[in-house]
Amino acid sequence: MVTSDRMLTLMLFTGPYGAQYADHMCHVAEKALEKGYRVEIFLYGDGVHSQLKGQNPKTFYNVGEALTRLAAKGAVIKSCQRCSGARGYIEGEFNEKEGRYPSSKSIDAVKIYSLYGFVDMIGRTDRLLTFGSA
Amino acid sequence: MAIVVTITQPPFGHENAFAGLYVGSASLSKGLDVMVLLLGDGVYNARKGQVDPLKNIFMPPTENQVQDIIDMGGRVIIEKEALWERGIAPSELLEGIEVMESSRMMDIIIENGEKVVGF
Amino acid sequence: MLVMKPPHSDEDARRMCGLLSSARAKGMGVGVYLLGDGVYCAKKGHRGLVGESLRSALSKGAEINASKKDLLSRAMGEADVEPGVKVLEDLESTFVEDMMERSERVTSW
Repeated sequence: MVTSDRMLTLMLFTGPYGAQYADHMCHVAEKALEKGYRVEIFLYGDGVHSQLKGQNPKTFYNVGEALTRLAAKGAVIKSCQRCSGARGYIEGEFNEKEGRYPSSKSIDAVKIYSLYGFVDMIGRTDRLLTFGSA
Repeated sequence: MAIVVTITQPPFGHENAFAGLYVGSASLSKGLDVMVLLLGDGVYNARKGQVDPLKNIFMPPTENQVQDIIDMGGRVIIEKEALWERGIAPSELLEGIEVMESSRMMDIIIENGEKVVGF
Repeated sequence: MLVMKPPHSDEDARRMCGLLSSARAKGMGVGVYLLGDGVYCAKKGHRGLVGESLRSALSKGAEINASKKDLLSRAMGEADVEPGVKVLEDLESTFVEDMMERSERVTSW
């Protein structure tokens, strides 16, 4: 539950499982939510693959399930429309009512949105962290 | 307060430069102040003369993105030591690029980097 | 600074040390949080720029923290890290609190 007026934005630029950045991001997000901060996440570049439905790692940390838990706890999670489109996730035009591009391949917790969604987060956030970008 | 975008990859081989420059120009278009720091291999993005990369290798020209950021009032700063190491002469650079020593660029991150986006 | 890379992975280590140095020169307090592969930076006796930089920062009062579960997973314990490095049970929790309430700047590598 959000009890603070302070906001943390997290950007993930690399896909799940190839490196631990997605795991680290989710753990940091979880702690921030526990402490009552607003958390917003933007999946960018290969980071959009973390939205893929049906992830089933045998022994690794399940990033898809983690994002779903984070959203249930109040995190706002968006992914880049351009990056998602390039990687085959988008299945139609932007849905104004739902505020997302349609995708049957993505988990519900993540809304595919324009990059301006990230710019908006940057403008409002108190702290910003990037994961897996360099 | 500026958004500081750091880019450490050259154009095309990785998506980083394109993605980072895109964040820079999108932020500028929404009225945010932007400083782009090209560090290490990121300095290659400041070279002018990319010849039709979209046609040749299906990659949008990062040179145009860098120029857009400068034209929109953003600052593009490149690492002097990295230029020297890579044999890049000042004549190879786009107009409007600022060349700065690495230590001073670190100062910029500390002084201005309330929000740092790394690529 | 949240550090998630080992010390010799790429040029980021040099930049991290540059930032540490710049911050200390300005009299700023510095906190380094070593997570995942970043815990290798805290290994005792580490030679090279990162080891020297961290030891110097420690001697001047910087807070260097390492994640216990990441150390243990990588066959390291408290005895294996530089003296002065704090080994934390829940590094992410401490990092979030420090970042949101005590710091003016934060970067991640």
